[in-house]
Amino acid sequence: MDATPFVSVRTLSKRFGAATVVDKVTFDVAKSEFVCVLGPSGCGKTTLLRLIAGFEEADAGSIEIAGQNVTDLPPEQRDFGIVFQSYALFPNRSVAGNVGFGLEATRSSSSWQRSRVAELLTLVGLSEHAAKYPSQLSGGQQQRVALARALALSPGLLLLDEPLSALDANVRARLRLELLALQRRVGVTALMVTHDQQEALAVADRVIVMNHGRIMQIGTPRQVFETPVDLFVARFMGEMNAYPVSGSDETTMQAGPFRVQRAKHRHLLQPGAQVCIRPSAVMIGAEALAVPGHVLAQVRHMTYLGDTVRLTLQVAVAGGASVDAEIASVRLQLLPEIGDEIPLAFPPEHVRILADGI
Amino acid sequence: MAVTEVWPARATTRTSPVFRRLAAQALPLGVIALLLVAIIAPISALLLKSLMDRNGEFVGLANFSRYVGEPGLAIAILNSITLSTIAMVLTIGIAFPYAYALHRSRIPGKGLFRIIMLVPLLAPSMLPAFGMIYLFGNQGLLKPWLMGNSIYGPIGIVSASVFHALPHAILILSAGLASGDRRIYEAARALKASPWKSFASVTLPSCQYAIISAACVVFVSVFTDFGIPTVIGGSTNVLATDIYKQVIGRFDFELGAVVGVMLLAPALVAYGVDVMARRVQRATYSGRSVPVEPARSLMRDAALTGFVLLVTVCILGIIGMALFGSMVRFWPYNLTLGLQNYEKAIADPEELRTLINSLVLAASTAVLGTILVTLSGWMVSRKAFAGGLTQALQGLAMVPVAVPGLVLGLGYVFFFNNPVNPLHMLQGSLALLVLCTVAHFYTVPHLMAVGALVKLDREVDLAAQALRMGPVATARRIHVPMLGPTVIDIAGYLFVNAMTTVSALMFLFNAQTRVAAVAVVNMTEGSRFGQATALAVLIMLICLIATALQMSIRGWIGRRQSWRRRTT
Repeated sequence: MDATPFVSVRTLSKRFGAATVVDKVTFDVAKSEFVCVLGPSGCGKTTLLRLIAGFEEADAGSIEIAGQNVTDLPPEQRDFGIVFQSYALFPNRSVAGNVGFGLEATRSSSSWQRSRVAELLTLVGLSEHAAKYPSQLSGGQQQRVALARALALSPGLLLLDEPLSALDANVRARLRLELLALQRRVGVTALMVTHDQQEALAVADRVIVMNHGRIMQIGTPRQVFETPVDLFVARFMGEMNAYPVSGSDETTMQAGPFRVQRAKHRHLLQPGAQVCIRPSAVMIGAEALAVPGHVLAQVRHMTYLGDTVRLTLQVAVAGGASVDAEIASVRLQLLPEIGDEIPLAFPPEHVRILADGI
Repeated sequence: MAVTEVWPARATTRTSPVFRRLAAQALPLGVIALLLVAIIAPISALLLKSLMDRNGEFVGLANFSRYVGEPGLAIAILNSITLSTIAMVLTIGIAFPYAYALHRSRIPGKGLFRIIMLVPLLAPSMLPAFGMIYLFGNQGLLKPWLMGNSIYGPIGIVSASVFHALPHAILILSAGLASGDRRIYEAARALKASPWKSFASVTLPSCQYAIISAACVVFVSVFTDFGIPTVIGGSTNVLATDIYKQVIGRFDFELGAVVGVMLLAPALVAYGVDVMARRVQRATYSGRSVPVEPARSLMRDAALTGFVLLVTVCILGIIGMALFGSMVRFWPYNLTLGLQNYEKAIADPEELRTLINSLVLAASTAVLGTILVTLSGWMVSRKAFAGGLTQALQGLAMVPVAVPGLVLGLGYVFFFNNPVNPLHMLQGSLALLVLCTVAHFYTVPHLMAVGALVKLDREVDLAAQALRMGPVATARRIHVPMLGPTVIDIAGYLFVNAMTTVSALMFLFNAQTRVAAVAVVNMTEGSRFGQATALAVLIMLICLIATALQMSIRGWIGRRQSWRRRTT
């Protein structure tokens, strides 16, 4: 990745009527980087993508692609290819006809166009389906056609609008790896919009988390999952137990029945702060006894999920809090039973003190 | 990195955005302007006329109060409402079991029954009236069946109207019944509901809006039809014939305008009810449903087969009777058959001209209408232009379905006969007849075009744009093939309707531009019955040929567009 960004978005805003859908959004994407825009539905991520494509006009701010300010240019004068959730294939054209569609408007020889289409179809592994029509293909195949079509004009930027959301779970998992491999091979800069955090974590070099039109956090998958800036980001990336801080002294903090070491988090303590821990980090049983501040809790619900066991635990003191815990099955000799009282603890290195987002 | 080679750079021609936007909006603005002239201006002229006196002075509701004082008016209104209501109830009563048999039973020969019930669509509304007269008229073969009652009057109007409106009702009810969901019936069976119970609590509620919709359409079509009461109405006065009497008989244009408003009002109300019913229907029964597979039931299927057979025998009988009557040498004294009436139609230069005029009118309407409707349907469905323009276009396109032909035709008289109007010279010309017919039948084909194109995801256009394909190139490569068979259906619909319509044209023709359907009405006034029937039969035959042509072209396109066939 070189230092000058390939895509540069500055204080970009878009309003629909009274609602500000994209609110002063600023970020960069480096050349050949794969960036995912992640957020709940209605957070403005698709509008952001459409602004970059030029399908919507920005109210304020600027967009640069490859050093060129494209903010006021129509889509056809911007350098990008796009893949939609609906595939948006031309139903009356064969696979090859779809992939070659964009080439037809160029002044290139038809033999060159044919070889280019063949090359792209090989790239997405659909060479033997070249003569079929979209209605004869599976969803995953259709999406590969859409991908090849988007790459036909060798765009510098590939925009992906929830490209995998319409597919079955296992096809989706396979195709996202193919997508990543393809992006690496071609070297195209990619910006993908998704609401699926697993998908974002799996493919992105960096993740942009959005909510209510604003960017909440930008970081590597590991950064946004392990050190979220607030409870919203934390909860969006995965489940999180959270307990409001009720008091503190020099060394410890009290949140409901839990007492945690405070040393590391001193500068973060602010009104509305919560003690947070992911269910998978909660420790139970004998090993919990070694952790200072452990408490006793009663098993309320237990769900056996194969690889893991999910427990809902009720801390056995007055006003006791409920804790979700997820334990790898291999670490349990015996499954706990409903009503059992077991020790539970929050290992300090996995505790986060987070403000309550929005 | 093998794939990212250097791309042959394209010179980007940069036009100024202002110019580009103007050019992009010239097309929708042009179509909107044309529709304003063809639809809104004439209707406005009629509404204004109803509030003015002979000298163009504004007189408020004076014309209405003058009309209220007319003798026989109350009877005309009462007749129109009563007869339309009776015809509506009867039509739905016959159409519902017929549509039910086609969609929810296992009767044999469904394909044939589906085609036969459509035949009345291909004939002018006068044709069933002729058939009735040959059967039950003063010298009809089955006159005793009426037990002393006369076919000329309420009985004739109602029965011919039912015949004429039946296909429309069956088509609407079929759509309602076809959208039923098998899973709901399975749920009803799982809850131990009897077949009757599930009919009453699932089937009927699921198509109640289709029933309302069909009832509205039938009511309006009977209420505003001109051909049937003219031919078989006898001395029974209805609003649709009254308007003609006022305008053509007494040259009282102001009272004509008043009757026009009175025809328009219930049509608008019915249209409003219809729109609401369809909206609720869509909101309630959208989404994917599993088609209903009718269970085996001997009793039901036997009863429905009998019923459907009876209805089709009546349809074929009435058409056959008209055909027979048109070939009889001298009704009822010499029943030997001959083609003398048809020979006259070819030999008489005046009659031949009406047929040629009809063909020219129908062909021109099909060509002009198809072009316009395709353009407006494309613009509305692809949302390629500013939202306001799209909505204006859609709104305009929806108006004609609510406007009775007589009202539109009279509006044309008021708007185009005005010497101030620069389009005044069109008066009486075939061009004006074409414009009026296109406007009259605009809504349905417009919706057909929209329907064919909205199936295509909007993102397809964005994908094309991202591939740097201009809107015209995209339309040619994607939208036109998508429309393919629908364009043929639209042209066929416009052709058949232009061939058979009378109402709007009644006021617009002159001696040179009279069309065959109008000539049919004129001939009955002159009691040239056999000739009138022969001409109506000829119209039906032309429509049959056109429809056969339409189907074979559509089949040919369907075979060429192999991408339409689903294999997965």
